[in-house]
Amino acid sequence: MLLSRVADNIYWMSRYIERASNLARFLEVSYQLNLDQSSLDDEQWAPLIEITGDMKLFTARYGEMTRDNAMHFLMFNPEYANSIARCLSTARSIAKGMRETLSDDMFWEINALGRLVPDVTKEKAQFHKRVLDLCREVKRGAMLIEAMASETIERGQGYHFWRVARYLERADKTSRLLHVKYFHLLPHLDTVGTPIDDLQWSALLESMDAKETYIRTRGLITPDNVIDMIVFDRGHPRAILFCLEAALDSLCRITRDESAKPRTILVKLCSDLDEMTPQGVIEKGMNEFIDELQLSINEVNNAIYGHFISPKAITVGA
Amino acid sequence: MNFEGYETEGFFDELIDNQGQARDSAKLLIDAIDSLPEGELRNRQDASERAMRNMGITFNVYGSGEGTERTIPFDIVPRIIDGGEWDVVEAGLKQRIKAVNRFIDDIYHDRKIITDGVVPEWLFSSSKGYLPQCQGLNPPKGVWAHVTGTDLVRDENGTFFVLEDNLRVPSGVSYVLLNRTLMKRNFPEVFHKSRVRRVVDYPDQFMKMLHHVAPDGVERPTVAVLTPGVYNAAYFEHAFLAQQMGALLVEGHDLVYDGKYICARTVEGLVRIDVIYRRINDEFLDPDVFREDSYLGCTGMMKAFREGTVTLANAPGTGVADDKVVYAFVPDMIKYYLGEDPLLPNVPTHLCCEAEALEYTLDNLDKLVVKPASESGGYGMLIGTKSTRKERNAFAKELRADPRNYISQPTLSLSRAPVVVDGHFEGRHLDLRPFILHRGDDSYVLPGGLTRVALKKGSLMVNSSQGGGTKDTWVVDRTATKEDVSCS
Repeated sequence: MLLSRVADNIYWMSRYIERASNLARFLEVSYQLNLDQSSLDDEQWAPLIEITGDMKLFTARYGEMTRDNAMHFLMFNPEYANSIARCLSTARSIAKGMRETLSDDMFWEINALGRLVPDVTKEKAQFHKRVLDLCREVKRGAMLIEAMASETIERGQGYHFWRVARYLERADKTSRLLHVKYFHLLPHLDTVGTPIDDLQWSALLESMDAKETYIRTRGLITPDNVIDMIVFDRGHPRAILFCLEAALDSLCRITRDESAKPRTILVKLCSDLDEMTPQGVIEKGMNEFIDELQLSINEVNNAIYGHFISPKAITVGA
Repeated sequence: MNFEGYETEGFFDELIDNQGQARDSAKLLIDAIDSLPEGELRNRQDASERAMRNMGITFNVYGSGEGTERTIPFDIVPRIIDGGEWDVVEAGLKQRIKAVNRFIDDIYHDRKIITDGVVPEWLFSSSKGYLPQCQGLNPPKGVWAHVTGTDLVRDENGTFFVLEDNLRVPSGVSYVLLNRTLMKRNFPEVFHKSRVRRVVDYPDQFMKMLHHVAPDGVERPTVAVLTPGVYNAAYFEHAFLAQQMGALLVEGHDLVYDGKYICARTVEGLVRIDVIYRRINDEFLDPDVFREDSYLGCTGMMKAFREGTVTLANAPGTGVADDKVVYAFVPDMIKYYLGEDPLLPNVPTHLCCEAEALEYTLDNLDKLVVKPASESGGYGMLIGTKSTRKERNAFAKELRADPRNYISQPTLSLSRAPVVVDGHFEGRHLDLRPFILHRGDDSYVLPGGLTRVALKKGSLMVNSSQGGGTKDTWVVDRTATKEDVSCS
């Protein structure tokens, strides 16, 4: 039996951990990529902020797009709700409010991860010293928690809420990553195929632990092959279709009701995606494709909330 | 670190006798500590405190805003009680809780104990915990106080006295279980050799009791622990118990009354709850009946309780017996209901509502401990021997204004036990809170209970809100023999 409140908590805890770990991946790869730039002027931090969708907040708070500001915003800022530090501490507070449903191992790990990122707002020198290590620790921590969930939690509704949330969050983040690469790193068609372009595609793959698989299975980097891998590859655990089908699989275990709204929306989304090809995406226009995808993912989220967490039918007029 | 130079200073010490020798029951432990390499005890103490933080065993400090989490200080030297001595305490507690439950039931029915002149009428009518809404109710198996935490102290002769019975929502049992986990790690060999009575099955005993008192006809009850929420100081314990018992942990807004049953809002819709172990006070249970502004409970709760579709543990109205004036009459209740002599004595108590006792109390404020009848947590009391003239004068005024609300007791010379202080041992005062689970026909007493220790030198205040810490409590069935080599 799963309380609606607890389901909601599991859902958000899972999303925040996944969000932090995705950001850590992006930050780590951008950092590495920028280290390879020949001059400071060539550094690219704006795309990273674009992924969060919070560019306005960033500009209002920091003004200037510098490496320090970007790192502080994404990793350390205790006031920004989607910084890695805040995502993890929010996940921790949520966990504290539902620890009876978690295994001890899981709770301890989430508890520790929630306190991992130090508040170093006043010591900029710390950013560089710590940021790569922290990214790695966040990634590892999230994977450890995932493994613990997988090994210690029974496959009940709680587990599947955890899984739905994680995969929807991941699908969303993967789509944003692709979006940013396509529109912000690639303003001019004439850079296609240049060394910079290759470097960017390969960084994108790396942030998804997909680089080696890619070159082994697909060889040289071409945009349509990359899109094929990170959108359509059912064998790759960060590909959008993989994530959505995994979320659907769990959703079907949460409710057997085929007409439940979250299920019908997600079923349609998966089958629509299944009928598309990388070439089709490029022809349709990446912008439109990703906008539609993100809207649909949002719809699924809302439907889950309306159906399981706060259904109107539950108010009793006795 | 060893016990050389450790002074009992004329107090009863739980581990060391007045000749400076380890008591028989504590010999194995003392030998083990004495033979540890220098610094090792300190290391283990540090590791235990770290483990508590990592496990998130923290409580929120009231009124200090978000993010203020503290751990209750934990002292690594366990308190040891001889099994034979404990047997008497256990029998005394069972006897006491049985009588108290009979008393509560009597008060809410015929009040024979009053008609028979054993206790005065005003005893319940002036009690803050008395609920007229419970008059005539019959909770399942006749149990009102399912869970009790009775505070015991020992005097300079080592005699156990009952200090008070916490019958509403006693807390602290999670620390007993967790302290034990830590100590098994720290002293596995001594622990094993000492034959320490186990506490690990408390959650199972608890769940069995809750099943036993489920509403009639419910075969497999759904059990929930009702918590005020994550900001409550004891939230950790609520979550811990729910997890260990396999119960749902619910907050007031998770519950809804469907016209007959109390139900939980789940992802599959409303699900009936049969038994609620509630960790909120009576006044918050049901905004329709008690405090209107309460969001902690659920409208309809009292209706469901009265109609018997849900069992509440402890039952509403139980607080009538959780009152320091009622406490003074418990020995009389035991004689009246059970026809037995009390096995555990009360601390001699003066009821300030009696003119003579009030005069005596006012004349001896500098020697007595004076307590409000219905407070807990050490709030609002006066310890005469530690007070200034000004404090006593102020207190005397309050006392005269509301004598029914006060009792006075002699200042006991509380027993002590060694604690680790800056790399050596010093004696500190302590008490003991055993937990009793009552199911009507029988009770279960958790062997030992929570030892609370006043960490400030000379202090008698063991409450966590007043700077107290905890120790593991070992009830041991085997004492050292010659064959025992020292072990750690």
